[in-house]
Amino acid sequence: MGFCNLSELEEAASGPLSEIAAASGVDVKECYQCGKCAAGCPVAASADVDCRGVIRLLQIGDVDRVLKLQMPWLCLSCGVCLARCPQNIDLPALNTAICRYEMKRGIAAEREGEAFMNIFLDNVEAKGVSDETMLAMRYNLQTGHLFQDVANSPRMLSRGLLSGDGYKPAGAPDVKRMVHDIRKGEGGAE
Amino acid sequence: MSRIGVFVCHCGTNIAGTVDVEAVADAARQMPNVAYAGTNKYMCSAQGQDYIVDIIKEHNLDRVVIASCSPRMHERLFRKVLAEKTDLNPYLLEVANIREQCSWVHKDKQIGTPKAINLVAMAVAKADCDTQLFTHEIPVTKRALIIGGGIAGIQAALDIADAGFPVTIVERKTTIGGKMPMLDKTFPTLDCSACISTPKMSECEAHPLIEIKTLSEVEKVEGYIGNFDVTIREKAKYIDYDKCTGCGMCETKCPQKKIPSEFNQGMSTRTAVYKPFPQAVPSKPTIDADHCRMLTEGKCGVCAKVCPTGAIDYQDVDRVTTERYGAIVLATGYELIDWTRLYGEYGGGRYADVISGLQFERLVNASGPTEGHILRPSDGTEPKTMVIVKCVGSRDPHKGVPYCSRACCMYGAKHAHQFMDKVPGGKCFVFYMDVRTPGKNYDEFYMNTLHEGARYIRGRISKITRRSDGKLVCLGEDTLSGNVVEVDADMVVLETAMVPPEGAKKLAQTVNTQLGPEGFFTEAHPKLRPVETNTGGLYLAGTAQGPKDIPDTVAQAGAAAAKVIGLLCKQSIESNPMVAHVDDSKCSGCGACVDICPYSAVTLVEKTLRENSRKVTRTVAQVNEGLCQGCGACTVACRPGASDLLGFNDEGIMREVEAYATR
Repeated sequence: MGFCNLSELEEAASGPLSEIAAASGVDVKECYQCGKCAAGCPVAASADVDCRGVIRLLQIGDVDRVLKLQMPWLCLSCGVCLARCPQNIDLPALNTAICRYEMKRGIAAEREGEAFMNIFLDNVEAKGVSDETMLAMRYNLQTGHLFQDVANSPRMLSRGLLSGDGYKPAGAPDVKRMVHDIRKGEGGAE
Repeated sequence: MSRIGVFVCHCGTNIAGTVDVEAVADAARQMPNVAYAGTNKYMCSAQGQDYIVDIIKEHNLDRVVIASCSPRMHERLFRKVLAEKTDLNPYLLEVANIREQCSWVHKDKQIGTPKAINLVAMAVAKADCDTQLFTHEIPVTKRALIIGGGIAGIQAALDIADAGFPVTIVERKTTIGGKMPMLDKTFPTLDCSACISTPKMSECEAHPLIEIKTLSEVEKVEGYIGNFDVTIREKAKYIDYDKCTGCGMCETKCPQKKIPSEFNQGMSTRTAVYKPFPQAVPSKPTIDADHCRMLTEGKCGVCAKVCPTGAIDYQDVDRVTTERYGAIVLATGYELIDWTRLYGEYGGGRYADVISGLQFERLVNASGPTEGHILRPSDGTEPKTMVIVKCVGSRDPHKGVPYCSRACCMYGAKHAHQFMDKVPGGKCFVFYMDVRTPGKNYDEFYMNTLHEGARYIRGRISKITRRSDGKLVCLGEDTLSGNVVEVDADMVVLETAMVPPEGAKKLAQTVNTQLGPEGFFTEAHPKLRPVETNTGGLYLAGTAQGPKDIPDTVAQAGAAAAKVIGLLCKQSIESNPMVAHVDDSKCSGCGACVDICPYSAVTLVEKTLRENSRKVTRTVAQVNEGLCQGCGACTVACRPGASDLLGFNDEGIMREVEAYATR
């Protein structure tokens, strides 16, 4: 695969590594590469490198390659990996931290993933709850995939999954405020 | 006409799974002289034993054939049952091995069953020829000999001596202690290795029942369990230890100062009259005859002039003594593989900063050549990046040895820890194939090393090259990421394989025991008799038996000591009656048996015999039943057929062959 000089990586990688570690609360040294996470991950098979591989590249300091990976963007944050990990490593948090590290610098490896994340957060910030209809419309418009998943809409409608307007949980205003404050605190991730 | 009982064991499904045991019993009932045949699920169990005893009495049996596991496993047990619970002589028993040599090697009942029947038929035929045999008592000499004075030998010696038996330690170096005092810290507790081993050395020296012979080697071992006559050569030390006070004046004044120190792994020098390290035992110097100018060129004599007690004796000679011991413990230890000869890709010893793990131990040790500062041998600077390579020689059947050396994963982690501890900001990369940490608190130690920042890279270093700026460029693969990786190291530590020490093969011949294919002494059973050998009275301790770490070595030494104490506690032991026997009337006195006997058990003697109602004096062979191990070599060599092996007599063997051939 690749070639890297570990002595040189050591120097270059320390900044990004500590930022990602601080943001995610994950110490990659904890991982002993058993692969239990990757074996249960629903998206690992379609990713370029699986979640174990992401940690390994961080362990050896190959940050350049990590910042070009699909995997952090594909992560669904379903939490199966974390639930099964013998070392209790929060991989969803790590993946999110990598994505946000890239977004901050405008170097997101997956532009569509970045768009999705922003639209989703705008949505929640505006309404205190995810409005699936709005999310789908804005995402399709912004990415140009105008008819993506449209065929699913009748079934989603019949199950009440697209009735975002009708669903207003009691805590929605609090969620709105929380998301707003956090994004403001981060200096805005557009 | 004998009345033979055949008992076929199921051994659960071990035998019954591939041998139709009932069919074997049915077939046995048709065999000549068989008065009874039956089966039992576990013949070795208490119920199984009772079943045998009851049937013997009920059917008035006079011979027993047990078709079960290897006789090595349970023959002794079944003999004991006959001896203690029946009136039968315990040697009127045959074991047909239908497990290891039949059911375990076959998968198909159609093949296993007829083979088992054949094996039983042979045992039945032989049983008919069995005769009563009787043991006799052999006295036990209540002293033990320990060969090798490392931590294993020291521990075994202390345990045996504390039980009240005199012990002699034979050590070929100038001090006891072995490798342990050379180590800096011991995993996983990180206690000082010398601090815990040197007190044990002094304890040996002070113990009234322990005699230490350094610079000594075992030359010859004769005799047998309980009575080994051992010849020991104690090499000349050129110093009279009765006069020497160990003041060290000779060492200070010796002009030969440039000899590489073995103790410091060649990283410092010593004098020709020397003590390898301050806490050496005996705490008196020795003159190295290969380097002393007086002994090589006849010029100098400085040490003799400065010695205040006149202890220097250039005329000293080797002393050879023969003494009798009841038991011998082999604690001969290990050596590290000579990687420089094997690994050209690591520089083959051309790069000063590529060192072995044992050299690193000396570098990091406060009494070592750098007083505990980790400095590069090439230029004395502190390395900032260190690479540790594990499995150098180990798990490398092509260049090194096929086995795992067991301790390197742990001391590799320890070296990484020590480096990061002593070199602030130092970076340590450990290249490994697997991390094996099976021991109390071992994995925790390894995980701790990871947390401290050691970078573990899964892969073997493929090549080390030296750049013009002195950096050692280590090329390997990180197989977990698929990257080929490179590290610019200042120093490289190779964790090398443990191999048997030089001379192990010769010693095995001297003491009459076996070495395994890798050159370590073979235990009698890998699980159930781990400290015994197949030679009675000969025990194993420590790495002489195979690579192991200090805790395991000390535990095994204690176990060997317990076995020795168990033997020495007895007033006498029972002899093995299955020995060679010479029929004087047939013996021609040719001496072929004397030449072939590997145990020196046969001698030619003058005997007055009665032949054709006349008295004649002839030379005939005579077997020392204590020395004879029952190997049967003499019975094959004997042309007139005078020599026969009791328990395996010629007739019985021929009947076995016949039984097989006529089926």
